[in-house]
Amino acid sequence: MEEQTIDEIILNETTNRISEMQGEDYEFPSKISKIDVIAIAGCIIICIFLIILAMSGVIE
Amino acid sequence: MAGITKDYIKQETVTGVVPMLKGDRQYSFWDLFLATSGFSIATWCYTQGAYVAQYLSFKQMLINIFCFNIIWILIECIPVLFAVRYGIDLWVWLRSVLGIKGVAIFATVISLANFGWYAVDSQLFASSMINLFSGFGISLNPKIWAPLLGVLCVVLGTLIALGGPDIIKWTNRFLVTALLCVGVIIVIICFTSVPLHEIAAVTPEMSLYESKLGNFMLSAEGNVAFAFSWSTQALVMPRLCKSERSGYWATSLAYGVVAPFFVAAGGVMALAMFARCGYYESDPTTMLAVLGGSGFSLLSLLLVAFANIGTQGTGSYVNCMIVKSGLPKISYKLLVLIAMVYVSALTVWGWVMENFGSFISCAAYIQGPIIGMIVVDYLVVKKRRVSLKSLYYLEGHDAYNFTNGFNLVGLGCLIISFVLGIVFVYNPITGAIKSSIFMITTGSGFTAICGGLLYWIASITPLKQYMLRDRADIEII
Repeated sequence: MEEQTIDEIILNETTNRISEMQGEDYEFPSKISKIDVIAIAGCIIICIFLIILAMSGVIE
Repeated sequence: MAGITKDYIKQETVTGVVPMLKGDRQYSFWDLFLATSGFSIATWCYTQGAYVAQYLSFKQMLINIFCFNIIWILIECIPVLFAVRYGIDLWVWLRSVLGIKGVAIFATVISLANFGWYAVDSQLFASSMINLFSGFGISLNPKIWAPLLGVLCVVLGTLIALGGPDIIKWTNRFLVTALLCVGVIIVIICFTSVPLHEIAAVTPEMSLYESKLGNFMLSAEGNVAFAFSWSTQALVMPRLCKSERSGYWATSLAYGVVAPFFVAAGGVMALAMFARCGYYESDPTTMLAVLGGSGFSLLSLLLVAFANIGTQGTGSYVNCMIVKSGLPKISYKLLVLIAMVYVSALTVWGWVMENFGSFISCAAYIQGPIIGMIVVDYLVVKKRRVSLKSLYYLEGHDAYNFTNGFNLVGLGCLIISFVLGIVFVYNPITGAIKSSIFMITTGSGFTAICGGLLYWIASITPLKQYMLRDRADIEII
């Protein structure tokens, strides 16, 4: 059996792992939900609102 | 031989660039949150807070620190979802935005710049230690002890980094919980030693800029640059996480809330010091000794020592991983040891600490366009689909080779944004505001918006063919 170089080991392992991800039975980590998206958007909107109040001198 | 190969593959998965499959993931929400928080809590947070506190009222300071950080961290962390899904760090994704050789160059340049933070970190560690010993009546000559203690901090951090993510996880699990409690105690000490109405009554200095809005936005520039400073490093660790939700929120909350909390604590301490003593102070050991008495000097010793060493360890791991994404053939351990020598040299030299403000803004000007482009690329241009085989340049898959390994469109957007920002918006080296755009976007924010906008405009021109040559090569969705 021929010894593999480090590059070949990494390349083969990467190829195998990508092939495994292509398999129909591979389960990807669970996705974020709509609640997460709403929370992200909500936080950004609230922060922008507070910044505008501070920039305009309403909050001093 | 098979055992050695297996160990090597495991090593290259955890501390290398091989994709991490779902079964390999080690980090829960709390593990990533604590590890990232440990990384983000460093003495420079107090330096940042003390700087902002001088120029803003108490309420405006809190809004400035938290809101600018939260907005930009929530945006720049969006591509973390991709990192978690495919188990690769986002520097690997960036091969599709900057080209394979483009990433190798920028990963190295940005990491060399990032390591400047760790030189600051170790110098703050050294000065705090010297102050602390002084408080106990032991005088240490700074010319001899500052470099020695600084290098000690780097070496201890290196030992943590050599242990890899598992050691980092367990170090931070205990460390960060304790440090978060200490941070809360610090704020309580400030408010009990100096009444809130006295802290809130401190009048902001107007020496930074002639208008209140100018002061607010110049302070915001510091906070946006602070938020950007995490960006390239935030893109590495989430791939260790078990779900998109835990990866995204753990990263966002650590950089967007925990780090700003310590910045705000530094601001409150500086205001409390001003109310009590008439001068602003950014060294937490000095502030705690004055406000809390000598007993709290020991608390500050623990705070500064552990926080800085923990940051050194996690930071060394993260930045060596960034370099490795561009230069995958170099071993992780060798990179960590090279980083130790490099950061030690920067620590002894001291240049970064002396030019801290310019340093963080200049670094943010490189990171800003990359943040803008990667978010637009992920959500709008590539629509969350990328060719993994081309990212790893497997045989027959060369969609991201572009022009001799450089994506000229991505690199062009980066350079144009950088130059436009410096010439027309804000010069981070001189601190000069060049136009009123700065009063809306800040300088660093402008580079991110401009980078993303230019990249999107390019994608709706004939350049689309050049940018999206991977569409026929996408097999995993």
